[in-house]
Amino acid sequence: MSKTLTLITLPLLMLLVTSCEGVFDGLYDTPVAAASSASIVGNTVEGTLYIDASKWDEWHYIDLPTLNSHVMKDASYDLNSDWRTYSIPMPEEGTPGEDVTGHQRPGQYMYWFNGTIGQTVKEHEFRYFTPAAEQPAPASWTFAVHRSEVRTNGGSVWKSSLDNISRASLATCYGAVFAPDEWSETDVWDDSGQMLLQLIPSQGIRINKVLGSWLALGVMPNYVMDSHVFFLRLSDGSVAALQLINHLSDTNKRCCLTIKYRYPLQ
Amino acid sequence: MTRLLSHTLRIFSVLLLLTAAEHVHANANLTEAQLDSIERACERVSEMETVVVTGTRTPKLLKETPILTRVLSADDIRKADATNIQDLLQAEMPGVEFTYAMNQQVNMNISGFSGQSVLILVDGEPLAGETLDNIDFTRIAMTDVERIEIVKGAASALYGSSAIGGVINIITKRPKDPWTLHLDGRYGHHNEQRYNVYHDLRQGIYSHSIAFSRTSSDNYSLSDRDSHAATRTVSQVYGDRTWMAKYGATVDVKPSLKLSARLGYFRRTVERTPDTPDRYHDYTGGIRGAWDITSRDHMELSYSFDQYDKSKYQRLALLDIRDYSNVKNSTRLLYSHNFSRGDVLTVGADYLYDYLMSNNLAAPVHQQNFDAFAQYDWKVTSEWGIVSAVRYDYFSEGSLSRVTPKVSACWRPTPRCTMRLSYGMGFRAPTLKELYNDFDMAGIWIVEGNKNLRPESSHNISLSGEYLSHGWNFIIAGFYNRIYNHITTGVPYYKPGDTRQLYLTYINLGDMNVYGAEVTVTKRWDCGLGMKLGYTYTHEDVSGRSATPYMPARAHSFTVRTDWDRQFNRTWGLNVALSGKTFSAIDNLEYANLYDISAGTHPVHYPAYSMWKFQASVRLRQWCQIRATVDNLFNYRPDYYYYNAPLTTGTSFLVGLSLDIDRIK
Repeated sequence: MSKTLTLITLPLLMLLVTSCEGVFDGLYDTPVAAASSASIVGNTVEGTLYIDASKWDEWHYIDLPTLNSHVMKDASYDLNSDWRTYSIPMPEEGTPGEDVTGHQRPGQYMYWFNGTIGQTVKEHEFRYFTPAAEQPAPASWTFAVHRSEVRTNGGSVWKSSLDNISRASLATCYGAVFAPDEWSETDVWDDSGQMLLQLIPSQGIRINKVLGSWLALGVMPNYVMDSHVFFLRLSDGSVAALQLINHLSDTNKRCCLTIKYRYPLQ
Repeated sequence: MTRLLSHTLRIFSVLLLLTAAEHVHANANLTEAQLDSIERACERVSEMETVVVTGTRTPKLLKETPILTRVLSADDIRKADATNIQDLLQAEMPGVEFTYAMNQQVNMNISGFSGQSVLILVDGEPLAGETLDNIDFTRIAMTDVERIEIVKGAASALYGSSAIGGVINIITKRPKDPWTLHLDGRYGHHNEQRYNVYHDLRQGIYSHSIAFSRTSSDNYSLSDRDSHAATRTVSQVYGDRTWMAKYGATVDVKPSLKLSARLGYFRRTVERTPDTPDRYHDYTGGIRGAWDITSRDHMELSYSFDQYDKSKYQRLALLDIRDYSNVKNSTRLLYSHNFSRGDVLTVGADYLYDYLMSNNLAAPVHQQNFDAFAQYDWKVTSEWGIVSAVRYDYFSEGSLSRVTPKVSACWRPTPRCTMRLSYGMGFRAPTLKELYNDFDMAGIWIVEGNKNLRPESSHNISLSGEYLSHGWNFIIAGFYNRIYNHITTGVPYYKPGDTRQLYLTYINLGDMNVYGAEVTVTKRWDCGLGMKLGYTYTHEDVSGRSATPYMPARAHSFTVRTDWDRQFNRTWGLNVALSGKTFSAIDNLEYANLYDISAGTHPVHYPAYSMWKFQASVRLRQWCQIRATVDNLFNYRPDYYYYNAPLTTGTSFLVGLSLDIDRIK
């Protein structure tokens, strides 16, 4: 009987051992998609939202007053469901390139840059411009993100030395100099198709370089994150505090932004 | 007179091999110089008497093995002061080149074959995990390595897939003495640090070994002197931090039955970006039973487990997220019978279960590989030997099967001269990655698997001659490989209807020829002077288009190692060594526009370079050694740091200390 048992169990055991698909799974963390959260203190909402901004050709728009109104009605409101995506307009097929720049027209600006994977980008050389339509946007929005770049809807930004957004208040930014959006034609990289030739087209658009510094391209293709609290003054004069707390997805995809906000600051 | 002395020393040294070295030291009638001389003669003989296993899968004396086998001995490893196998092969083996791909993932080229075509084994067991088709070389620390056996040329008849370009077998130490305890530390440029501990013990029927290694080095920047290089260059070198721990134990259950088990852990961290360091983990283990059924029959049954994981540690979120895991389970049965006239029959079978999980795959995949092989080592006469082998492999993916033969002949007209001729077929099945990969490389292109890949196959012919005389050892070898269906990534292309996303798909290239020659000369004089010269010529001739410009071997490479060793008295001895490696230039045709192949190619010049190293080590009282090294002695710096330029910033210094605690008296 025991021999029969051995004859049956031994091959089974061998089969189990020899087809092992790994050990120590528990040493690693399980990827969990970032969840939104919000809390209300008086008229101020402190929330966390997650945006997959990794696509090259999309802007994602967030409207803080709208978010707040939803949260005020329902504190468990899913902030991750309330941002809107607009594609970057590309030139119509056959549109001829122009070899002039400096006109600040919307479209695609082709630049050569002197960097590749394993290097930092140090300089750009203009190649040609191809006109395209203006960037569409929703009727109401506060700021928008595209990979690591940010633009505001007539707002301006100041970077503080605060690390904890819960301490942000209007008093923190008294006397601070806020930077408005500025024209860029080398930052909003929107097509990686010729990257190996060190040719990258960028959208010509106004962006906020101070707020965009929360995630900077370092040694390619890696990003360096700045987790300080940024103060965003909206066009209506109200102020929001923003903090980037992560730029990776649960599966380590870059430019997936977890943003904390506090609005309106009192 | 010199010949007489040499013969006398040889006889002495053979006798010495049968006795413990310390007994000789205890003989007060011998002078220090005599002892020194005898030790060196002993060393020479022991090199020739080294038992190797890789060429035939059975133990053979190096001088008698019918398959030309290069051995990097414990002495070579110690003198090279190498940290891992990459350091060692780079320093000691002519024709071995390591190049750097994107993000400084390493690619090895050994006589025209890159990493995926050379099978690397530890004690005969396969290793899991790869990056850019190469194993993680840093995981093979030299702490517990006894020797490394290198067999170039197709060895698929014994080792199956991936042994198309050769086999590198790392043999770990086996406890011989009642106990040993070795400690060493080293510090150098770029905050390079290394700490090793090795201990083993042999008590009655039980023996064990413990090895621990810790290394670290900082990231550093490079700047091109020629800022208008025609090729892409590298500006950042990533240091790493590694931890390795191993434990192995053996029990001699009976004189004829030996059971052994081992466990190991390795971890490496690379900070390519500070908030998400890359982590590489390896968990390994195995059991083996070796049974001498009779004095002529030997059987081994072994199981080996190796799991190699990659993860990114998200420092901000405190999450260690695994994105890659490769597990190899290997079970082997090996039987050999020694016939009375010296012939050896070896038969065996393996079962390999290969599992791969990766973010670059739609879902985890696995593959089963079964093989059976037989080899007959026929001692035709005292001068002639013929080894023939055949192997059958079956792979579950695509129900692929393959038969690979090999025949080798060895002729020893005199005890000093050995000629070897070998023909073998090589074979490499597409890996799971090559079949199923779907990797978005930073938005540049998608590296895509190809389920229709055919296996790579080859014919290999090699001829070598070896001559030993008065301490001189000459080896000259030539080889030719004809490779069919070489698997690599093709040129980038757009799929119909999608002009924005580039794809880089694994393909079968056209036929490929790899041929070359190698000359090695070694000599050690009784005055303590030693010399090892190596030269290789390699030619790769590829038809078909590939987008991998940094892979070809440089045509010529030279290695030189000279050292002088002297034991002045019982208290101290000295070893000074000068070693160097020189590579010829290579002009490579690279696509002018990877997005438009019709734009043609342009030549990119990769200049020749030479790197030299000076080492001095002082031995104190048999148990202490202090070592100083000047690396890149002549302060070589490339004009631009491209993929196969040495990533050096100029002359650097290393200091080290090693202690053999068990030798303290």
